[in-house]
Amino acid sequence: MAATTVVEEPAMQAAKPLRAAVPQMVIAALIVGVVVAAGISLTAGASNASAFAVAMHWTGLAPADAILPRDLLIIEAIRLPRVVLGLLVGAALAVSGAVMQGIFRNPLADPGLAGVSAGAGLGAAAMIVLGGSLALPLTGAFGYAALPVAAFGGGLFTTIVLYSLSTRLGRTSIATMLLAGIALGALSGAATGLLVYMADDKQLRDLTFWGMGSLGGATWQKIATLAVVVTASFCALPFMSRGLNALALGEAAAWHMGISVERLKRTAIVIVAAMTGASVAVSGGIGFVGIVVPHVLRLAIGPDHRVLLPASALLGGALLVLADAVARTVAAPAELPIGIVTALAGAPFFLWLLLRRRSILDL
Amino acid sequence: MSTVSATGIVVRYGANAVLHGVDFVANAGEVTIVAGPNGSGKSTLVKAISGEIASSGAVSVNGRDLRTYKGWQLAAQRAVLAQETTVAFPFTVADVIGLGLAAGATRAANPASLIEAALERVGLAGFGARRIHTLSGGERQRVQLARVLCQIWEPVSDTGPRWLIMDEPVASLDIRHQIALMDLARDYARAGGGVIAVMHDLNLSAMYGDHVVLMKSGRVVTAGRPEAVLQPETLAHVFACPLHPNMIPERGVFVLPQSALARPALAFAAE
Repeated sequence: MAATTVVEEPAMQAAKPLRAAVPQMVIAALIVGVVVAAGISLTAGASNASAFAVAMHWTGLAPADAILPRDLLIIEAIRLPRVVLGLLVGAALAVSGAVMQGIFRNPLADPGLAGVSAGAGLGAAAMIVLGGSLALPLTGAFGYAALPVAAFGGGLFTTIVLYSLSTRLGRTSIATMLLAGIALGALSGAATGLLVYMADDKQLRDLTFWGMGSLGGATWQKIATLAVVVTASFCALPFMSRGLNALALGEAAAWHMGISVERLKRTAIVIVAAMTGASVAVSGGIGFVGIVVPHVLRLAIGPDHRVLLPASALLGGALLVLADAVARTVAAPAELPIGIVTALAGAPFFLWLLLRRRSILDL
Repeated sequence: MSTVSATGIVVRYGANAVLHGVDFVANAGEVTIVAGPNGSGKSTLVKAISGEIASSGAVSVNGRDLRTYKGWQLAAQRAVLAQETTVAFPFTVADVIGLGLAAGATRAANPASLIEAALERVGLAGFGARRIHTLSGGERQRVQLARVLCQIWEPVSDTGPRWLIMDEPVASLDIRHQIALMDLARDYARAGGGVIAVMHDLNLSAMYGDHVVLMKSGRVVTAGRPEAVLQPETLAHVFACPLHPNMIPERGVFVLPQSALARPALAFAAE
């Protein structure tokens, strides 16, 4: 039983500071942004099917015969699942990045850069190629979920190896982390290449389709799988925010403030691996969302994880849905892999970040 | 029992022991100083006492075994100020201090004004909205002091005195702020709390310490009142350096290097 004392303070806070209002406004703006991005993405595409007409149809404001069955099909069966999947993948990637940056205490930590996505990719590739032979027990046990489970396993393994390599006596070396990430990513890439070499024609088609990084294969089944992982992970976030804030002062300081640092790190590693793994399993490797989104938000609303994590989910979802709209329209009727769009936008941003803040690397 | 005590503390880093069975007692209401040369195990002792590192031996806080405290209970009973604390992200000063407030047991009716009061105590009134990385090293250290103070704002709780534990807290401060910090620590002890501080400055130790613990090579050499502990033979043995403690009646003791007395300049000044 700890003593709880109440300190009476005079109400000297006449005007609430302006800063306190900003996070709520940013969250509200981001919610609007998500709706707008979803609307744009539902409207944009190779066909001229009107999302507005479909919305009128859904709400019963337009007569039932006012809409073409073809348009209804395109919106409901093709674009809507893509938008929902995009929101989930974007939220999962951005929040994974923010949590990983909090645990590593560095804005450059990211599941893509640190090899976690590559590890998850290896897990998924192994399941595609070996699912019918070596990994048959896993396929039997998990059925459709075997692919995400394998990706989760690969991501979890990589994150744990990465953390134990780069952290010594409670201090995490960002240089070691990035270099170990490169090595682990290359190793996973090589092993994935070996699997591609071994694959038969059908497996090769699956691998190529999956590995491009695309929301193209969106189905409600994939959405359900990812939604379960994302919902479960997001439920843990409110309990982690204060700990991640305290951890910014170092592991010892966080521990002295009553945070169970080891439990926090374990939870965070599992969450990052689960969300990265599930995202990679349904949409392949989509880079830079996890590094760009939290960084932009820290500039706008500050680094408080209680606001940063939900804001990252919203902005990540909105940006990925927009990126998907771009991927579907710039080369219509052909389609660019979304990973190319996010890399084209994200890589220069990342370089700019490096140039601006070279000191954060302290190599 | 209003003490922090440790008995038979042994800490090893790999094969070599850093502390060889150290006994230590600090009383609430007093400023306890741990002094000694580099590598004597001062910081390690403080880490063992605050629970940051595991040790063989027993540590108790207010008569209760350290290991039986839950993390949040310990956080409500004692706060720890490190020599240096780096903040990874651009938090504001008020955000950082708010972390301490959230960790402690004090439920302020108005957190913002308590944070401002803590900033005033460390001479940083009005700094709340600044980003921490725009401050100087000494200012950052004072922000951390304000955070630690907010964690244990009231020196006495109904589960006993609260403890302010500091590892070389004045290393980055100028002399004015060194004195301000030590005054603050003494006030905290006089109000019923306990203060344990690792110090290098023997004169600050003598001025502010009620109880001084001298360490060398992982062992406690001697402990007691500053004027009893800071004796020429003891100092020469502990620091392997000729030092000259001067007694000023009713004021205490201050320590000069022996060589300073041999210099003509000082002889001139003394005339």
